[in-house]
Amino acid sequence: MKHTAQEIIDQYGPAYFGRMGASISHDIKNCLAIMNENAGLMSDHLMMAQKGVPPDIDRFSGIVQRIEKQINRADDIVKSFNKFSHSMDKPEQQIDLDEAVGLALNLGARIIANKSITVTHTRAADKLYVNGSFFFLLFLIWSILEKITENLASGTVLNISSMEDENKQVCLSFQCERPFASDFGLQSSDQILDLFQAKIVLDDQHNRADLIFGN
Amino acid sequence: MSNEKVLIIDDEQDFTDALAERMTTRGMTVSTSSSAIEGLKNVEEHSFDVVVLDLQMPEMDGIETLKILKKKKPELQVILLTGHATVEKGIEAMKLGAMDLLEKPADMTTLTEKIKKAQAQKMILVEKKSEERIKNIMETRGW
Repeated sequence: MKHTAQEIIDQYGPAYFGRMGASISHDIKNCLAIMNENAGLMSDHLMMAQKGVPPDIDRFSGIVQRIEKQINRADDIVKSFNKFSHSMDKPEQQIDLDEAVGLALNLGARIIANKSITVTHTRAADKLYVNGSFFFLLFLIWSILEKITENLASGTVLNISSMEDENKQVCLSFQCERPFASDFGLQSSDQILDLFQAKIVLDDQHNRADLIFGN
Repeated sequence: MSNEKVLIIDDEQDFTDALAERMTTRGMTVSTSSSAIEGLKNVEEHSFDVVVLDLQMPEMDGIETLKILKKKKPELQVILLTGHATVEKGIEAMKLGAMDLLEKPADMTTLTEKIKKAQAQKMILVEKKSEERIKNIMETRGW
């Protein structure tokens, strides 16, 4: 049964958006907590200085650096979330595939980290483009990633690389040293695969899945 | 000056470093662990009054860690820290024996008060345990 983009959005959009929103807000809270403790630490040092303890400039410098690091981290997280929020603006567009992979990974970074799985991303030498909805592409990449990492042991390294295959079709390859799920029977993914005229090809060893785009 | 022995378990090292230094300034003896596994090992090897435990960590989360901690050392007091405290999580943590659940970023005055209260609670439990042990010995020997 074919589904329209609107039907898929209505069915899966809020759940995906909510999941990513929860993960991202958690990360922002962590940044705020670190800034809070370091600002408090600075305040403690100032109070000691007021009581006559000579201020330690190196210590102050270290605290400032930690706060700056968290400001940059939080800024990156918010930028990713803003891009994600705008991914539904256009129903169809030309999408830089590696940009989409990078964003999908940034959005779900905490969820992946909690599984203790390392995901590496190898970008194609030249930019590769896919036509369609940015939001659905993010969702598709994430759905495959979740399916693959579902049963992977902690400590596993998974590599995602973009390339053009022998038929000049744009391809996203998910590869790891251990076998992963034996099927990709995700209803949501199947419906979105149709939107991109894409297919998933699993190799015999079940440790590589290629997402091949038809458009 | 009080001397609460506290262990902070959190995977954000910049957080544990700053929090540990602030708590040390307030008279506590503080150790840190950057994972649940490391924290559990630390608890096995050293004596603590209170564990300040992050709820969401890789490999093993705070709830799972709390279960093991309470099984190994029931008198040990655990304060959970979380980015987003929900009623459900709070209830679950309390049922498993957590002393409290605080939301990040936590206020230092509140956290210090909770730690002092937790240490007092631990002392009561340790005393109770000692009393029971003495009572048992006396009963066994017919005194």
